[in-house]
Amino acid sequence: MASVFEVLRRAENGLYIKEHDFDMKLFKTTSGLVKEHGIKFNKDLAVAKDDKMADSIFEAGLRLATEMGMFSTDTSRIIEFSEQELLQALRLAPQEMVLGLGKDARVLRARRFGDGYPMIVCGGCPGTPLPEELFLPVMMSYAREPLIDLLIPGSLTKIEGMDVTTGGPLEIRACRQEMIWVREALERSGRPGLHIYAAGESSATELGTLAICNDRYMRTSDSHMIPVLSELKTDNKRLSRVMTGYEYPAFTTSLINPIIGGFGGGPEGAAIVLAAAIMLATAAYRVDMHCLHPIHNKYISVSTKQAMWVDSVVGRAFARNAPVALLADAWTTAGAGTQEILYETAALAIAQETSALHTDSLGATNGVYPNCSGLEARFFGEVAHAVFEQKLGPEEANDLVLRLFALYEHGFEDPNLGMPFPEVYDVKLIEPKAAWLDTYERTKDAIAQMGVDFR
Amino acid sequence: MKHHANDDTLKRITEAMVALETDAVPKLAEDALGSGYPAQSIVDALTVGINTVGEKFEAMEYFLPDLIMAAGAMDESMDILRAALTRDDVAVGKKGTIVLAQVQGDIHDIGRNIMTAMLRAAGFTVHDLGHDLKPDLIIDKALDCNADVIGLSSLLTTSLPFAEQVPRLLVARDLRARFQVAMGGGAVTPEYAVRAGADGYAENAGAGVKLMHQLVAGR
Ligand code: B12
Repeated sequence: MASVFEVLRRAENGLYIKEHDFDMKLFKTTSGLVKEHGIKFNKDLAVAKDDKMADSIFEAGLRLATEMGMFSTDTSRIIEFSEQELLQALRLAPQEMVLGLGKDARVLRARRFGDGYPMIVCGGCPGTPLPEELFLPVMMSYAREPLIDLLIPGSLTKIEGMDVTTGGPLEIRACRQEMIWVREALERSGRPGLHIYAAGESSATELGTLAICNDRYMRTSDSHMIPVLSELKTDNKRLSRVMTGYEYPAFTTSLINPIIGGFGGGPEGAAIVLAAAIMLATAAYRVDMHCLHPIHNKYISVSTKQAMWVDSVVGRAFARNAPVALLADAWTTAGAGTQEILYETAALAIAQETSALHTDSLGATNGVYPNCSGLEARFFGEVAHAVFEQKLGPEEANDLVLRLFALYEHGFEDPNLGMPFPEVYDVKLIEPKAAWLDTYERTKDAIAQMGVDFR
Repeated sequence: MKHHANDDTLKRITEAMVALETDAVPKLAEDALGSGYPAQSIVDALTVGINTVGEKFEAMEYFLPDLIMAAGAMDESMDILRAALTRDDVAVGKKGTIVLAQVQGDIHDIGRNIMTAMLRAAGFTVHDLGHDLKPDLIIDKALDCNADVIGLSSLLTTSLPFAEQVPRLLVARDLRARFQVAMGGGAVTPEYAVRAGADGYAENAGAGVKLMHQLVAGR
């Protein structure tokens, strides 16, 4: 398996190619693989059930990863991997990790179908810009939810009233403050050992990650994130995060955003690109787990059928062929306080739980507005656990997801963004206000009627 | 010789564009010009074709690379037709010149790629400056390209401070009246664009094309 230094060497000396040519080659190669394997997205399927197609996507992903490699945008070189290197990296990927400390620790597994374990639920509002005065209460609203197993921070965009700028000195301060407040939120909720996932969300560069590599901030039982650039690319800033993790033994997770309608083509191509990116990130970044986040080129949200299917079929592909820990983002169009967000939440929870995925949190309003709260994360956990207990198969899961989809579909064109945190929660008591709780209870009843057994 | 839109030669140009025969399109435009078709009628045929490509992209029948290739074929064809258009005294094919840049520190580029392709398809000359350019350098490049509009894309709240530097530096350099400034990308809201001193904002690529028409016309 290529060492970190070997990866850097390949980034310097690999085959030279213009970025545009790399993009076009990726499109051609992916389209060819879609045809060759006869992969077809069916608009009536948000939850994949076809094992053969899932296996084809794994095969095609492996071919794409070997044929393309990973492009370094700083050096215009390709970091190549042989098929054997990729498969070996997958084999060596951790199958079980203890995340967090003491009584609050959770075991994150590379899921397989029928292994008897439910998903791990990560809660939080990844990267959502939060004002200083809201940061702690918002984080506490998640920390208090017992069904949340891991916590992902929002982003601090101001410090002492000053804008945090990308690559500027305040990124250091913002990330440290982020960690201090997330930890405080956990301590005050009686869960001091809970794992902090993707620590250092307040920094878009490697500065923040470097700044928190210290037990006072990001513990070695927490994790930080190393994005793959879309599609199948990296750069020195990303590789610097890899290097940051080289001697600081916190966990690492990738972030992969294949664009549906982008250089990979439609949902079929995006699924192959996602599979290839998981393989490449495992080999090049040596991450312990992956965050999957397909983007619909028009509606962005993961609650689109296309994006749910991409996650689902890739979850199936890896669970069957090379289990690794996959956490799928569950990003909604609607925001807190609305019925729509709960329908989107339920659909995503069902699709992910029945596709051998874990979840990496619910990004309300696609992570744009602070219209988020712990309550919708609680709901995610409740639905996911219910369908796990019910042993829902992919077919029944798909039926439910499609019925839910019909209830929130209108929001893609005309989003119901809901309300900011202080309007849906009592900020002092950190409890949902009556109206939000009422919407939640009514929607939960409606979903129970549809066949989700919450007992 | 027939010169109306139902004409086979012109229809073939439109069809070739819609079918993404991007190598054939400039050649067909050149042949049509050679056999005496007015340049404007060829531009119209190309435009009908590329609009359909744009619609197919929005409907996810075509993908970003298709759009990029179609926009490239449009660009090449316009290069061939430009001299004839000027000679015929038709308003020159190009709608205006735009520089697009991702603001400093922000590496998101999908939205900018789409915006670039859609604007090229709509007949604008677009210089995609890429990412990580300091605000002052974006202005230098806009001057170099003799741009009408500076388009700024930002998906990161923490890069917005660099976006608002552009209008401020334009004022400081006594160039504010020289350029129109447009902003877009996930982190930008209409309210923010106003506060930052931009001349326009669009929330998606379709609206972005309309906005650029307005901004260029308003100069
Ligand atoms: C894909 C993605 C990535 C990919 C980017 C791949 C790529 N090559 O672009 C990767 C994984 C690399 C990535 C990295 C990061 N990302 Co990111 N990412 C996204 C995501 C999920 C989708 C963005 C996207 O492509 N949308 C689809 C396109 C089509 O839409 P669009 O860009 O908005 O463009 C359209 C319009 O806005 C408009 N438009 C765009 N530009 C312009 C310009 C003009 C002039 C006009 C008129 C119109 C216009 O037209 C476009 C077409 O319709 C967003 C979520 C979101 N809500 O947007 C987060 C998001 C933007 N990312 C975010 C963050 C925090 C990050 C990271 C810091 C994560 C990390 N911890 O490392 C890094 C940043 C690295 C950096 N320095 O930039 C945050 C930003 C929060 C904020 N407000 O600051 C978001 C909102 C998600 C979140 N909450 O975490 N990300």
